[in-house]
Amino acid sequence: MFRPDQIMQEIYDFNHKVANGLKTLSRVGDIDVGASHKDPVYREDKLTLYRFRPRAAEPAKVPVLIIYALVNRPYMADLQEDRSMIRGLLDQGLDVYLIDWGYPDGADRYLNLDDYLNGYVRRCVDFICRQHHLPSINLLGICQGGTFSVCFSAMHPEKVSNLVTMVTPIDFKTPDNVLSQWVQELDVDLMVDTLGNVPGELLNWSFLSLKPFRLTGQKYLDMAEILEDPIKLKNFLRMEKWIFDSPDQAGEAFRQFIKWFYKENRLVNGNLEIGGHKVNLSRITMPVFNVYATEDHLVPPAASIALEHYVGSKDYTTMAFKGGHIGIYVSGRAQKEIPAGVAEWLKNRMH
Amino acid sequence: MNDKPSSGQAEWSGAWADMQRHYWNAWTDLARTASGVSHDPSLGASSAPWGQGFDLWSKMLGPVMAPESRAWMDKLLEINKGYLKMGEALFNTYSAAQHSGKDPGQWWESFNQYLTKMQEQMANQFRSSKDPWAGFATLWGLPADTWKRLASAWSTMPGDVEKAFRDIDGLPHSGLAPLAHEWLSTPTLGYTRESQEEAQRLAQLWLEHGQAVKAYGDVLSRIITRSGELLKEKMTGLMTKGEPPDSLRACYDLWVDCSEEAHAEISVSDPFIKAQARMTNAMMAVKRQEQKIVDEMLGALNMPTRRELDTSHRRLHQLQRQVWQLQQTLEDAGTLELREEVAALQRQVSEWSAGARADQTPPANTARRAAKSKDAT
Repeated sequence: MFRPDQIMQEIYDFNHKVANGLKTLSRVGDIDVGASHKDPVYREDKLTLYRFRPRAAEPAKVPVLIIYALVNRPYMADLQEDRSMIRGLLDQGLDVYLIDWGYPDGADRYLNLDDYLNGYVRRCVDFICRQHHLPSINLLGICQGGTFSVCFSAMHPEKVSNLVTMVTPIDFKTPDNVLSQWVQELDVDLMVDTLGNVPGELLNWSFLSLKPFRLTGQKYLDMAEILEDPIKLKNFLRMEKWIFDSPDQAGEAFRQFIKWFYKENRLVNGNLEIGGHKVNLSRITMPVFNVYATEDHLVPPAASIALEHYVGSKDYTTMAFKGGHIGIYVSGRAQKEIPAGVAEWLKNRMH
Repeated sequence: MNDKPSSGQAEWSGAWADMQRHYWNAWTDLARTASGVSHDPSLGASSAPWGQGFDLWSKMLGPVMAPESRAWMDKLLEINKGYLKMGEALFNTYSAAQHSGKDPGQWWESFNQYLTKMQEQMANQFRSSKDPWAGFATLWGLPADTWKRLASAWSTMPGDVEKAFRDIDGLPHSGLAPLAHEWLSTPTLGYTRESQEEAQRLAQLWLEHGQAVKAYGDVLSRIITRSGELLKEKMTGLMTKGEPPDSLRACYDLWVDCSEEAHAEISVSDPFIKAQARMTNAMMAVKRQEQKIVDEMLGALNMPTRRELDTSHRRLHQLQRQVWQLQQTLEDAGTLELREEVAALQRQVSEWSAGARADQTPPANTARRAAKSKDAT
C-alpha cells in the first residue's frame, strides 16, 4: 500500500501538470472540425446537402448518401484528418453525400417525421438521382439517421440500391436499453407542449447520466494527463465540442420519435405509419449491411441486430465492431475497419 | 519527495504544509505570469486548503482569460477539486494510520472507517439539508448539478430558481406540506380570482417539484451507498490477493468503477426510473404554468404571447406542407406525363422500325423467284 507522502507527491505532480497544461489550454485557439473538402449542392430551410470531393480518379458510379441523426452534429463522421470515416470512404473510391440538418429553432417546432423523411430526405435522394441519372442510390444511416434510413427504404424501396446502417436502433425495447427504460414514464406530450423544441442540453443531460462518474469526472482527470500535449489536447477538445454541440430537437419530430419508436416500438411491431406511408420492414428487399458496436451503451447491440429478423432482404450482412458508440467513428481501429468494410461490401454490389 | 517511510503525525503535517506552500506558490506564479497582476496577500496563501486554492486561483486568473478558455478551466478546476478532496481525505486517513504505529494492516481498518464516515456524513447532510442535492452532488461533482442548471435555464424566472424555491420545496419535509396544500387549494374569490388561482397552481406545482427532486435525490443517494459497499468488497478482494491500489489515482479509478457499477444496477430499477421521470415531468409542469401566467401578462400589455407564436408557426407549417405536397403532385404529374410521352414515342419508334424492316425485307415469293432466276443463269 502506498504511503501518505506518495499521495502528496501524486497531488503535487498532478497540480504541476494542470498548471502547466492550462498555459497550453489558453493558447489552444479555435477548435476546428471537419477534415474533408465538401461543397453544398442543395439547400432547403436549414438543411444543407453536401457532396464531398472525391479522392479517387474514378469514383463509384452510384453515390452514397449519409443520413446522420438529428441529435448531435454530423461532423463526427469527419472529425479530423486521421479520424474520419468519410475520408476513409472517399479513399476507398466512393462518392459521398451528407445531409446536415442544421440547428432547428422555434419556427421549426412543428416539423414532424413525415417532413423529415418523406420531405427532406426524399428530396435529397431525388436530387442526387437526377444529378447522376440514376433511379436509386446507396444510403448509409448513422444512429437515429440509421433508423430514418431504414424507414425511408421501407417506404421508398425503389429509390435505394443498397442500405448500410451503423449503430442503428431498430428494436427499441430490448432489456439492456437504459435510455428506453428511462423514457417510458416520461410525459413527452407535456415536455414538447411546454418546451416547443426540446433543448440539446436536456439530451446531453440524459446521455451523460448514463455513465455519470466516468463522463463528468474521470474523463477530465484523464484530460489533465494530456494537457501538456497540444495535439492530444486538441483532439480531446474536438471531441468535447462535438459532445456538447447538440442542436435542439424539432418538437413534433421528437414527440413522434419518442412515442412511436421508444414507447410503442412500432417499427418492429409493424404498425408504424409516417405521412400515410406504411413502414413495413419486409419491403426492404435491397441488400443490407448492418454495422453495430459491441460495447455500445446508447444503442445496445441487441437493438441493432434485431433488424435481421424483420427485413425482407435475402442479402443481409452484419459487422460487429469491438468498441463503443463513439469509438466506431473515431478510434484508430475504426479507421482501418469501418470504411474498408463498408466500401468492400458496397463495391461488391454495385456492378 | 523522499522515498523513506516517515513516522510521526507532526512530520506528516509539516510535509503537508510544505507541499501546500509549494503548490500555492506554483499556482500564484502562474497566475501572475498570465494575468500580470500581483499576488493578493489577502487571499491567504499558505493556510488555504488545497481545494480552496483552486477557487482563489480561479478568481485571480479568471478575469484575464478568454471566455472560451474560462469554461474549460472552470470545468477542470471543478473536477480537480473533487480529486484533491479525495487526496486530502486519504492522506489524513493514512497518516493517522501510520501514526498509530500498529500493524501495517491498520490502514485498511482506517480506510474502512473513512468510507463509513463518508457515507454517514452524506446521509446526515441529506437528512438535514434543504439542499436536495446534498450528500450526492457534493461528492466530487456529479451531473445532478447539470439538472439544477437546466431547471433554472428553462425557467422564465431569473436566477437560480431551483435554489430560490428551496424554502417552498422544504415544506413537504418539515411536516407542513398538508397545510401548504390546503392553503394553496383554498378557493379564490372576486375580481382577481383567476390570476390568484393560477398563482396558487404554480405554488402547488413547485411543491410537487420539490418533492420530486427530493425523491430523486433519495434514489441517487442509494447509488452512493451501494458504491461504498462495492468499494469495500473490491478493496477487500484486492487486499486478499495482495494487490492493493498503489496510487491515489488507482483508488479514484476503483471508486469510479464501483460507482458506475452501482449506477448501472440502480438506474434501471423501478424506483429510479419513476423518480427521474417524476422530477422531469414536475419541472415541465412548473414551466408550463409559468408560461401560462407570463402569457396572461403579455396579453394584458398587448404584446406577442407564446400562444400566438405557436399558432402562427403552426399555420406557417401547414402552409409549407401544402406547398410541398403541391410541388410533389406537380412533379409526380410531370414525371407521369413525361413517362407516358416517352412510352408513346417508344411505341412509335418500334412501329417505324418494324415498318422499315418490312420495307427492306423482300416478299418470300419474290426472293424465291430471284433465287431461281440466279440458278438459271
